[in-house]
Amino acid sequence: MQQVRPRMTRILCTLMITALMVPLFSACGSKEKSDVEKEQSAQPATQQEQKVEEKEPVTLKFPIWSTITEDLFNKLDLVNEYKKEHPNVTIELELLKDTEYENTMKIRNSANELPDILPLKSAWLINFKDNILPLDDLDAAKNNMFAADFKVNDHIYGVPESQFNEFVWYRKSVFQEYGLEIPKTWGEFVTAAKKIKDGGKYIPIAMGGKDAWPDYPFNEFMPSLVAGDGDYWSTMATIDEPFTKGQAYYDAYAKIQELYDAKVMGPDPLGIGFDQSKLMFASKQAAMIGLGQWFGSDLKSMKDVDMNDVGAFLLPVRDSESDPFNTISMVDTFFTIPKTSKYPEEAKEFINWFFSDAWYSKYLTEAQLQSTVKDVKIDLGPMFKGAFDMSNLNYVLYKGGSEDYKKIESAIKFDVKKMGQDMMAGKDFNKMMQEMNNSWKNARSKLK
Amino acid sequence: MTPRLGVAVKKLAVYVILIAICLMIFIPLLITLFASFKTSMEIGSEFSLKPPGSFDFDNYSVVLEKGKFLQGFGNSMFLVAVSVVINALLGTMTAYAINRFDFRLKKIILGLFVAGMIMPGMITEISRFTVIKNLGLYNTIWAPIVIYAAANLVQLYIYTQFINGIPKELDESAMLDGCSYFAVFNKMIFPLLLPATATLGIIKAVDVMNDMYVPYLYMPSSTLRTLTTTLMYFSSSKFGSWDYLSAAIILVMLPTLVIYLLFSKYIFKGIVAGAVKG
Amino acid sequence: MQRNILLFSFLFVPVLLLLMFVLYPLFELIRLSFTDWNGMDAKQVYIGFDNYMKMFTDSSDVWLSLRNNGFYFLFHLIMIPLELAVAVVLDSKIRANKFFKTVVFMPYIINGVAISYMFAFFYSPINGGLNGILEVLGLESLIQNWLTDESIVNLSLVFVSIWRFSGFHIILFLAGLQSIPQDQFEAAKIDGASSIQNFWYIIVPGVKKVLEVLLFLNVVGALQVFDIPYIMTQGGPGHASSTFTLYTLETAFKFNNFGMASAMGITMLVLIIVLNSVQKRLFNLKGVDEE
Repeated sequence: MQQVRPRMTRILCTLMITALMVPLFSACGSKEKSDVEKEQSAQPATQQEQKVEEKEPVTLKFPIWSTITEDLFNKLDLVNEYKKEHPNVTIELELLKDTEYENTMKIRNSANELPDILPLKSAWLINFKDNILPLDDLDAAKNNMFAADFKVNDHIYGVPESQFNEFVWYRKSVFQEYGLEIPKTWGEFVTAAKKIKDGGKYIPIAMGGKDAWPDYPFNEFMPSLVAGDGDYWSTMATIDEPFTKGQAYYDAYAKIQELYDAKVMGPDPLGIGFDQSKLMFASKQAAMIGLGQWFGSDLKSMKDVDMNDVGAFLLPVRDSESDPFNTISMVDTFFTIPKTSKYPEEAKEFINWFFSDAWYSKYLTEAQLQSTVKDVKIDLGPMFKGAFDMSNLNYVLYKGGSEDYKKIESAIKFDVKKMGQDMMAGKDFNKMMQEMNNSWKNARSKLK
Repeated sequence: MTPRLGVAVKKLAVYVILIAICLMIFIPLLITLFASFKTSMEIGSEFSLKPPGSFDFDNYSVVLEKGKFLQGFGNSMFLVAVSVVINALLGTMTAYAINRFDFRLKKIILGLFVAGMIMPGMITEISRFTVIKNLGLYNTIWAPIVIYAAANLVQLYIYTQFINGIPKELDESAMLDGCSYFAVFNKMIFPLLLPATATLGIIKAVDVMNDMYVPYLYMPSSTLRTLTTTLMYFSSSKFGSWDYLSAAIILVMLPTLVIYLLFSKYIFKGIVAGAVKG
Repeated sequence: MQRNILLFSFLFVPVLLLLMFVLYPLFELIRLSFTDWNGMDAKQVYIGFDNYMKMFTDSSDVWLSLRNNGFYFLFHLIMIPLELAVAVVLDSKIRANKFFKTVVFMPYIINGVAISYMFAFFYSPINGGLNGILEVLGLESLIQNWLTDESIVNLSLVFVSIWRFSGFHIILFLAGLQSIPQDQFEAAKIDGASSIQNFWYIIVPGVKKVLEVLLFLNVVGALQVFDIPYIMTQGGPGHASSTFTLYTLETAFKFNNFGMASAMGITMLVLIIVLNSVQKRLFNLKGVDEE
């Protein structure tokens, strides 16, 4: 990239304003000039300081992608809590739209305008690896149970904030009404849904198919669960035709297709956005909804939801009770520090503080998420009681896939959530699998 | 059929069609307005065109408090005002220079304007971002303003049409009276272009009000949200239920609607005067 | 001399802005379209015309997205004569003409993002406004999944676009009509011209300028459709309602193929230019840049 030198542009800017003044619009022109110049004096030093600090005042930019996180940080007063211990540091939260987060960061990256602390999803670590600092020496990274599992090129680049499991949330009263037990196998799960459907009173499973992503408990996670391999995407990148009967991907998708074909997600799952599906579950129009643990705090914040009537069980994908019960363990929100940050040391200090006892336990309890830090246990309350009392329980740590997988994904625009939409829309399943096989194989042959 | 009856039938048909058009415009708006006064339970259970049982402003108060809509309104208005002023200045100046003078680079400059109009959006954002950042305007309210000021073919077109309608003899007689080119522009052309400026003000204001991606990308700071980006955040938040969202939609629409209804007479005058002097 | 000072000072700012925000990004776009840049790495390898070749062979969704842009183009084109007809009616002496004018222009004034959300609600399958109205009218058979049925979704979105912009077009036509001198009509009346002749020989030439602008705006607008599908369906289900711009964005950011996305951007530029000049030929109109 040919960078235009800032000083040069500043001169140009001033020239522009002067040119504007020539035609005698002096009132207008001069006002603008002072404003622009004010804008250009890099950091206004309007910090209110009671006493002269030895340390420079520092502002750390810290973006987040969820309004729920924003509410939590405000409630627990993150900014001021941190100020207490580090009076010279101001944490500036930037709320971004979740669906646009990645795009925004890529655009900002091209202009070296990344924030000081950059939260990433595990799958993005590979994309950003050249632009973020290795954090191997960070205490927070050393004490983290999962950070090392997500090394890229043998370095820890991000410290994951939380770990959670995937549940099917259900209304206890509806299950009682139809005399249903917690399903222990995939077959039992589908049967339970059908039974509720036949009752005709409730929509068995709420699904916000319009937004594509809410089908992730099925379309994104089930291949890994059927394979019992959290790094299944990387494995898949070593197979020529993973969409063939007998392969984990195909078998998982055949199950999902069975579920979608049973029409247990209401009259038009594709016409409903996530918000509506959430409401349907909250107002007991729907009996179940498949979502991660994070949904707990979401539910609590909604009006008039009888939380005593809500339970959660792990989505069973196994065929029989003698098989291991695989369930996803999701590790999310990796704190990373971009190389362009002006204050890498302060950013490191902040991450260490974030994972320290004082803040971390308080925050996770409030957010209803599980800890990633050794020796920190979070009590999740009664809602999940019994969810983990499964025989042969086996945690599958979900990963984002290798470089090869990413290359194939980009080349053929492989998008499991959109595939889920197509399956709900009733596209010819076997034809889809056939086509995927062809393009997959084709893309693999081009891997260097 | 007597001719008179024919005329009557024609008139009736015209009214039926016009009323149908009005209904098409009003119904979605009415549904949203009603929904903004209902609870989510009511929205889910009753006919959408049934007026709400009571006009309680619960949804509105929640939205106003949570969404910071007032701040968004302030930012939007600031952007609109400054953009309209800057664009009127630049537009008239450019149109005057291009219409009244012949010079070597004219074709190229015009070509640039056309290019600006048909540039694929979004994808050029990467390089635009670099420019904005190097100007030191990133995350300030001036970033969108310079982008909006940059290129506007429609504006140039309308102004040029309009200047065409101002006879060159006027310029010449003023010059004979000893006015400079600048004075001609200041004293004569600019004031004469005011009706066209009214039209452009409307078009530009609508554009700026509606733009979502530029403010979203260049002003991430929460204090710099515009009405449109406020609505974007609001829609994806946990308050995304239709009761709150409807209230938010109405709130975002309201200011422009009120301004429009108050000034519609002048707006139409401006459009008629400024749109087509062919 | 004075002339040169004026030209320089009047054109300096607009041209500088154009250079910064149009010309430089445009050259970057052209340059990047010949690379395999993923939008992140420092390295950009030049690969010649590969992106342009691959664009149309590697994925059928490009064609699908372009076809959807075609929908917007076609329906807005069909609307133009109807819009002119409504404008003619509004121009005649009818009662409540002010009221109708105000209402017709209103949708254009309202915030577009708000409109998109409003229609998402209107089309919603669970107690949505439209299906509710059909039910009350006893037309249950017409109830559809407006935003999720692949064969309907684009029509639903195009309707929103028409709802938003037609009023603006009508008002522009109206302005054109009002600039036609009355004596033309009076002369025609004396000659005993029929209303159809009036239409062809007075009205159409009178609004020729507006027509020209609208046709150009339609090409640009239709090929750059973004916010309506982006907000209402995100291009779904699958890619059924994706448009060229949405698809380009997806290529760039979701699939990290910035080179390819740039090539798509350039392709769109070329398409707009080609379509517009074809249109100009067809209608035998003079373009904006030939003033």
